[in-house]
Amino acid sequence: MTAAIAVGLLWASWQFVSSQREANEIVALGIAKWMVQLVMPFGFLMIAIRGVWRAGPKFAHKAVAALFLLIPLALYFAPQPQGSTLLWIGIPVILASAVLGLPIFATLGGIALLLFWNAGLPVASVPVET
Amino acid sequence: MPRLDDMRKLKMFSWAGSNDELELWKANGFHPVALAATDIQMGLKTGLIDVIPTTPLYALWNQCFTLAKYMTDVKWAPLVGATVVSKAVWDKIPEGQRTQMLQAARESGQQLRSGIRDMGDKADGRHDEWVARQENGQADDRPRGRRYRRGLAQTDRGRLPHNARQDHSRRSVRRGTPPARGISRQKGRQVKLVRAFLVSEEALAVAAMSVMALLPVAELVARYTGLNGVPGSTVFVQHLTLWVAFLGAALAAASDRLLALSANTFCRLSGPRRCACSAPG
Repeated sequence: MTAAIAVGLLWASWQFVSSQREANEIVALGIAKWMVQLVMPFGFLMIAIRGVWRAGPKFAHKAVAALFLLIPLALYFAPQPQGSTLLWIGIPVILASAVLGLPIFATLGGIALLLFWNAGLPVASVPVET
Repeated sequence: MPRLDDMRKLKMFSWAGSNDELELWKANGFHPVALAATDIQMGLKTGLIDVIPTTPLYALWNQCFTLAKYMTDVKWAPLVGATVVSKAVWDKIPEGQRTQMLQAARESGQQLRSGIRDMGDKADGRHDEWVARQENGQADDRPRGRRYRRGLAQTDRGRLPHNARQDHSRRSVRRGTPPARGISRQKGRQVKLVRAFLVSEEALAVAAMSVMALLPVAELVARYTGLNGVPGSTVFVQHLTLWVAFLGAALAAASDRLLALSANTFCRLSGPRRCACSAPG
């Protein structure tokens, strides 16, 4: 679950960095802002990889954890939802996972991603806000 | 790691300042590295040491078993301890009370020893549970540890002072590979690569944190001395905060330490927890 949400946030942070790249802002000493912000997708990537890798001692555990990565992929390709059905399913699942030990960043980030996606808003600001 | 001889190839923690212990390990073919206790965690992470001789209770307390996953039962340790009373104070105590005090001290010592051993056994059990979760129960090589105990006990008796001879239950917790016979060269290379990546990741986080702390100081000094300030220091510090946060999160994910609700409080089911966390622990 952590890995799935981390991948969602990885995508969102990549969107954010891309938008910063287009703006071509400079931090100081000629260093571009987007280059400094690359640490965000890198951080989420490492969390996702480690989430899958540390899912369990057996290959089957890792494979099951990797299957969760299909959720953000499915959401990416899925059409824009018309109602809030997915929210009624997704948010309780994330909250229940939080009780079971889902990291706080994944709880907040996952809910934010779902809400943004459901409303059809760009997700680029989610990693910064959470 | 099927035999204790294999452990001799690894780097073992030894208390800094305890030269007798250091020499004793060396004399028995081990490779001790003298370190302060505060450097154990970092030493294990960076590969400075691979083995810690410690009790299960201490391994449970400081959580070092999360880094050193395998345990060998070695019931030996040069543990020196005493309650020291100055002669002047001792002489002031009436003769009858001295005898009673000595008796009480012996009884307390015996109670403590059995209590500590019980706690050690319980901690041992917790460690085994943890290892079983981590490695699917491949970490028990105690009989070899017992053989070692006899071998080492023969060599140390003549070297340590009588009061220092202790036979407390003490285990060597070692990091590294599962106890299969040897590891392939390719796997060893992979482990080295992963370790090098982890070390560089940590170094990057430490460097970012250091620069973050130094920049405001440099700015302060520059202003005080009338020089131009560091260009963009405030913005750099802001962005370094981002670096520290994300590198820290990535490192925390490597050791299952991402901030979460205390799952054990609500639920002890390992399956659903693993599904939620994507990592045991």
